[in-house]
Amino acid sequence: MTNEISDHTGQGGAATGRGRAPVLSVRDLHVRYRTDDGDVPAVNGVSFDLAARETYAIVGESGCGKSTVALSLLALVPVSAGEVSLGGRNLASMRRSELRRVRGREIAMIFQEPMTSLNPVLTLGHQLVETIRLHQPLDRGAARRRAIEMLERVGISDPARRIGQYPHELSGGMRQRVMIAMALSCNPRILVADEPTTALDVTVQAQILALLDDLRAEFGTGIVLITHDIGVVAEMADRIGVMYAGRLVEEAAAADLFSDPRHPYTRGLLASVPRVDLAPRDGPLVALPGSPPTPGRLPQGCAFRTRCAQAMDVCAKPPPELRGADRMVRCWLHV
Amino acid sequence: MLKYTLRRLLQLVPVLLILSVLVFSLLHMVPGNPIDVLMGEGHSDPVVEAALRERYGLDRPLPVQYWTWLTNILSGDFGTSMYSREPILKLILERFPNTLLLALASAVVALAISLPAGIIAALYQNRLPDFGAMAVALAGISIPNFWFGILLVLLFSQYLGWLPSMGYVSPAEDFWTAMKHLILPAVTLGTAMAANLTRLIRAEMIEQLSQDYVRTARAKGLGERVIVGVHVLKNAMIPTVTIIGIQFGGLLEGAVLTEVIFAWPGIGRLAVDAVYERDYPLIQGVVLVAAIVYVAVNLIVDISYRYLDPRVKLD
Repeated sequence: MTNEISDHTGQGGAATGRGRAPVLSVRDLHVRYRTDDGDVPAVNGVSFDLAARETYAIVGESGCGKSTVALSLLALVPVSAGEVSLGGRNLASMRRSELRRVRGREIAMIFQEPMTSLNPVLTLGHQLVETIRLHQPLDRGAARRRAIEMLERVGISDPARRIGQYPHELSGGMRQRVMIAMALSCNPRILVADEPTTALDVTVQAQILALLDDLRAEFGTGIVLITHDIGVVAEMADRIGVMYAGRLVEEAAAADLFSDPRHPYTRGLLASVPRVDLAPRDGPLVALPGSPPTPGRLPQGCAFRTRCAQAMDVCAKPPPELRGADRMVRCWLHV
Repeated sequence: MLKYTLRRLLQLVPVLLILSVLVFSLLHMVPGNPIDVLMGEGHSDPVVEAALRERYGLDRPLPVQYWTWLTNILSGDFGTSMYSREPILKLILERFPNTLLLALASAVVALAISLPAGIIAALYQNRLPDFGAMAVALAGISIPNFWFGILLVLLFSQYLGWLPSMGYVSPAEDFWTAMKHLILPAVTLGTAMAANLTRLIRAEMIEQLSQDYVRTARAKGLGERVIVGVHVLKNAMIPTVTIIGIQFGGLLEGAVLTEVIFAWPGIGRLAVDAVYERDYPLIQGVVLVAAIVYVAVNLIVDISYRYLDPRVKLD
């Protein structure tokens, strides 16, 4: 299946190049939102692979379509075209009943807003047990024990008492831990984490990231991490895809991307992030000029060229597709 | 919980006191005079009039009258009806169960209509089922209640002959006949209540369906039925219960027009009769009891919040 996939497209991102079969394979994903002004493309042909136990990070500014990619991985938004294939089955074309068996059991998700992502009027226990019993043949008592075990595992103290509490009785960080416990309670192969730490305090952010990393090792879960914070990515990503205006513009192993960013947009992103490990000789922080283009009104050719300091005439033509295995960049500077 | 209830009950004391002043003074501000009523039309005899004034305490200063009235009420003595000479409390207690029965039946009708209609309208927002439900709800709000009641009587009693057009039979006496008498007034009141509730439930459901926790529930693999029926509905019912409580409180005060149309011997009709007879003490009694019931229902609604919404702290 993997081979077929890597053959069937020149869209890039085809092979993982790391000799492991992907657990999740996204091919030429398109998502359009219907608005009053007509269809607006949010995602325009994204492809990538996630290997088991790997963390694949998608980085980009607000509005670049990264959260839409995350949602489409569970078919929580309608996929207009392309494939999200999970062990050879295409999620994008599944019936609702099939989809329900996959969601939560094989691919789970945590969200940006732990404050609102849990149901405020149901106990944590109810919400956990409900998830566990949905996918596993456990009776109420066993599911409850499993829920307590999961809460304990994600670092919630006194879980047997907490299980009877409501979300508002917990802090944001604690709620995100509960979300993680819920997501991993059925031992999914893939966890999609959409800005999981954005709404949290900095110290809590680090704890949550460390927890996710531990759990990935322990449960063997592959993680798709969506973030606008390249600092978060540095901590735990194996591979990074940089997204701009609904497309991946660069993909590389995390270390390579940081040491040798190629796309001008990636360089801009890195330059605009304060980093303790870079000496002041690297100069002051540079903000990217301008703001991302509105979906549906992208510039001709390379969508970044209006903000790019190195833009050339050729940039008015569509940039080359992502090609190769380990280092991929969609830019006329690197042909 | 108990502390909260006690505190709320204490807070009711000033409310009810103010209410009693209003009820008391209301009748001294409206035109008409009970003595004239007692004397009868066109008669005037100063001696009898003075005697009557003295007998009913009307010759004393207003604050004294008020105090006497209030202390009597507190000891359970609402006075006697000027018309029937019966104790007012007895009259009210006789009628109240009938009004309660009608209110409960109307609420059942209202929920039986508005819950499914509101949920379906929300799930099919801006599509045919939604437009249908909203058109019916709008009609329900616009059509005067008493007129709809008359139409129901015309159709089901006069034309089809399925149901009695008016009257009351005690359920203890003959349950099925009692139910038959209950249906038309309950549907009349219930549909009016349902119209508002449907719109409210629809709006709440739509609001809740866009919340983050719904997305979480979908991501977990829950089916739409559980998401809508458990997760969303429980949240949507919180504000809805308030409105149901307020409307139910209103029904308990007696649905005047409906009770008159269907000759239903409830509090509403008692009040109307009392007004016709200028039975001042009875009017005061009915209004005061209605107000107390309304305040009590609101208290019960507030307390029930604790069970619906865990975020509400009652201390």
